Amino acid sequence: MKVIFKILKRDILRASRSSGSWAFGPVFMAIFLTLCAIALDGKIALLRELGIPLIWLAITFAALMSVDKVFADDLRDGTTGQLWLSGVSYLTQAVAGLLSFALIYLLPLIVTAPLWSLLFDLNADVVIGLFFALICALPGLAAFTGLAGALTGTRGKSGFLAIFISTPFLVPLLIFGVAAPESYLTNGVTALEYRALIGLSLFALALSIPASAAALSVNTDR
Amino acid sequence: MRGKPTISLESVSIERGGKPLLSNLSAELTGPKLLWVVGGNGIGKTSLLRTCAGLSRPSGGNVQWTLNGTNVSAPDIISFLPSESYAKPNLRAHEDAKFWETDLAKAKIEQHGATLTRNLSTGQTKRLSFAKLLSNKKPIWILDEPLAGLDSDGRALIAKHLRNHVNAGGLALVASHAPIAVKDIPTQRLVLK
Repeated sequence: MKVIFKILKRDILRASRSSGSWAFGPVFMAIFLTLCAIALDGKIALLRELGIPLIWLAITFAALMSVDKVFADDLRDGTTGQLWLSGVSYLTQAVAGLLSFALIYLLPLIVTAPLWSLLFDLNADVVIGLFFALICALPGLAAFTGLAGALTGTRGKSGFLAIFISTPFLVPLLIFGVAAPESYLTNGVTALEYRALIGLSLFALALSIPASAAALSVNTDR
Repeated sequence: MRGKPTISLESVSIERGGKPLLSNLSAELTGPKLLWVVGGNGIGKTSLLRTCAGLSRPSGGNVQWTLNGTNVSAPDIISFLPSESYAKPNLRAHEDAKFWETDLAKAKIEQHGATLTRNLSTGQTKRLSFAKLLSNKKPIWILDEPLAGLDSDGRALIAKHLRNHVNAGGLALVASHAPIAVKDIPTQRLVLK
């Protein structure tokens, strides 16, 4: 546990000195959603209908575009191997990497999501529902995109490869995530969609942590 | 020190990018000893060292690590100094050292603690990597070009620590184009052709 916090602290410090690389996702979201709102020609009914799916898509794309931030740096400069030699297992490194990724690159996307909902004139309760859905899906998003990062390793951005790896896993999250805010209006956070999101997140963690650890081990061998 | 460390290579073959570098190498490397690995560029020195450190898998054969005759895993007994730095460029030297639980004074660069590692000179970066190696009291040291970029003081510092390490029963595998001048310790040369 101490090692995980040590890696997390190091990554947060590095992100704070990286000329705002962590802000790339929220900026991408802002541009993407603004362009979508403009493209829909300000038709309020249409904006309200498509707001939630578009916000989910923006978050998913922004997460996928940050895939190379998860493990690539440590793999490239040999830190992953050195940590292993100093007794930090690949499993621990996978947990620390996914946690760092979730907090530094995904959490800002989720925190700023309610702000972008203003573009689509969404009802306040729907926005609250969206926020809870994103929180429930955060571990799943981090786990699946992080796994793509571990698998692609040091192979540059590997954008398409990462998307191909992650998309089949991300689709169920998107389906339940898009449906959740509507259900929130009737059943609150106990709605089926929220339980499904939590279940999918747990499944994602159970699958991605050992798979990422195995991928780190393979990618250290170069 | 910490018992008798051994790396056993059994019919080890090493490839890189599909190109065979070493084939059918068998050896038992035991401390106390300094093993100086020499050979031309691209001959496979780094690949051999990484294989001995457990960081690369051989394409054939088997590598085993033992301590006092008992099988152990590589992280139990090996410290590795790579030829390239693994310091994070936007961390200060003292922050990087703290992360790896080492002391900059061990490599005599404490006066550069507040410098971002990307602004350290080649020699200072090498000293920082060496300080990290010293943080682990492991019985086998594997060093890839430890003298590159170092001034005479830096070379003397590494020679002193190598001597102490081998005199304490340790094994050191060192790949270096520069001569390794460590007196009064058992030294062997492994020439790769």
